[in-house]
Amino acid sequence: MSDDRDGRLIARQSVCADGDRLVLAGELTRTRVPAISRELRRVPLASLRVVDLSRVTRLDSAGIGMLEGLRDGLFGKPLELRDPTPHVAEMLELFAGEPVEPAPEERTRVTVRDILETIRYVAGILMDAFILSGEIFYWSVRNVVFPSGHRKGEVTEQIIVTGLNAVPIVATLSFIIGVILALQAAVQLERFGGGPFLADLMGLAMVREMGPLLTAIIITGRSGSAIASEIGTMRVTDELDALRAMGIRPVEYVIAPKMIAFTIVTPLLSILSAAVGLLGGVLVSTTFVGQPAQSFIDRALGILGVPDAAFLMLKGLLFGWAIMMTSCYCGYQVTGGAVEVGRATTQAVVSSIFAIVLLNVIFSLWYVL
Amino acid sequence: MREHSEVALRVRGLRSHYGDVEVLHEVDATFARGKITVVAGRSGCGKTTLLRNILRLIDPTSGTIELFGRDISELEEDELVNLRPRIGVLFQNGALLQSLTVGANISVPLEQHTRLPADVIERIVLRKLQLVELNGVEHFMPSELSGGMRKRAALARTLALDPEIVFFDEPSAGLDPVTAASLDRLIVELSRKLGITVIVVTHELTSIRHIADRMLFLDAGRAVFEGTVEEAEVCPVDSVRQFFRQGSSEPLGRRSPGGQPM
Repeated sequence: MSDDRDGRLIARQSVCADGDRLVLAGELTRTRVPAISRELRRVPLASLRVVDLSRVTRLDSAGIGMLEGLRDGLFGKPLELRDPTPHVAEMLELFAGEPVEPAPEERTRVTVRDILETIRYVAGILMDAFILSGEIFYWSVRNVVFPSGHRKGEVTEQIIVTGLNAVPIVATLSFIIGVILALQAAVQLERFGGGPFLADLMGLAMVREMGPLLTAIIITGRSGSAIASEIGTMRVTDELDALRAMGIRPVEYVIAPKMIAFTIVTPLLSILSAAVGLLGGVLVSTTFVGQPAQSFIDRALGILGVPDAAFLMLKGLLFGWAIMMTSCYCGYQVTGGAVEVGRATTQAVVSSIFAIVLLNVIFSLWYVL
Repeated sequence: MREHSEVALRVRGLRSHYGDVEVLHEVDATFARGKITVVAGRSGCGKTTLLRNILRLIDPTSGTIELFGRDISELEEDELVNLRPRIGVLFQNGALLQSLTVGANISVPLEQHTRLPADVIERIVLRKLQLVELNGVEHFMPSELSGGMRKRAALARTLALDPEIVFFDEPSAGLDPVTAASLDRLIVELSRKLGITVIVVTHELTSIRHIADRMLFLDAGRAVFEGTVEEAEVCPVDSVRQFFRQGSSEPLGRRSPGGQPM
């Protein structure tokens, strides 16, 4: 190929191939490389030995990548990069040397060793969670007796944040759920003339199941996620280490006040939820079934006994503790940055709800048996 | 006997691992009482790991850490809790509790380790803020302060209990040269006026030259030099020589018209 011919071709296009020689022209930069790569696909390159870079005006890492791709396509045959301009030569020198091999992908075949490792890992998690739970219980009880381990007023603040501030949302949602539940039940019961039994059903449903469950789910979303992200962030920003360095136990100073607040707040919120849910039942009963409010309340309370009230509070309490332990553990596991804090928060919510449902199954079996 | 009283902290044969990776290899070092010792070295050489081991925020694999005349390398957490009020630590980013005001942050160690009345604690807080030249910020939240102010506020908290030994982890990291220099000046003043033993982890050559009485140099987890900065400048150890030479070199790319370095 003569220079004249080269010149004419280059004037029209960036790629010109002739036998074992390829002439590239213009800019080999990230904006031009996609188009040039498309052109190169139409050119036979099997016998390529020389790439003429004398007309390349600019080269960046995308261009270097493209040239490396050309060389890799020759399966080990030598490729000469000829006559680069000073700028191109400088860029080639910058990226000189053997190209870095991509890191091998992680093997996907599962071996017995992997399974044993996983079992050991899960056992480690459970052990860590167990130890942390023990520490939280110990320091919370100790803080009740000797309240000097945390800031003055911290428990009250946590009661307000976790409990008092949650009252509107717990009450609203419980009322709505109570109305929905009562409406669905009323329609079915009316078909068999069982309208008056709506009070029995609502009493049992709200006190035994819906009250504590609804409260636990709301607390998980409001406080569990907040605790996990707070502890996770404190890990990332060295705040927990700073407390330790000051001779202050983070579990005692940060977590124990929250645990004490949870212990007080969750049974009370569960009672509130059950009570407001029943009010929803009263509304449906008086408007759709025609049963007077007093009669509904008398009947609902009549079917419930002291054990039900105790279960309601115990359930609320255990659900609260489960949320607390899970959220703290997830927060404590954060080691990286903001992404891990987000992941820990999600993990705390999902694991807490899982733990709550699991506990609920145990409670239901307890009732039945 | 005299040597013992002159030494505030002594580390012997300290080894530390992250998982299977050995980060510190048999580190031996002494830190003089009332002096500023800089722990220097390139990034990733184990400076912060050494600091965290000494503070027992990480448990060492083996070796001894003699602090206040006793080996603390195997103390239980309960014993450490009693020991730590005598130590101050300024973390790299300050590590102020974000949920508390600056004043509340400084009062945390005072409330936890003393039975002082609230008004005395308040006065101490104001004095400590004055000491670090940060008046009038006690009601600010940490997020409302600049990076340099946050570090000063954290330093005020570090000094709240009048510690005998203070550790600084990269104090000038992320600060502009002027703020970094003023923090260096503060460290020197505190050490001289209060007689505090200061241990500073840094790789900032300017800071090292300004503040260091003595220097410990780490290279790939090994202590390769211990002495004064003047001795370090003429130290024949490759990594130390390279550290000082690189820090003193001309800006890259400044060349004479003939292509030779100016």
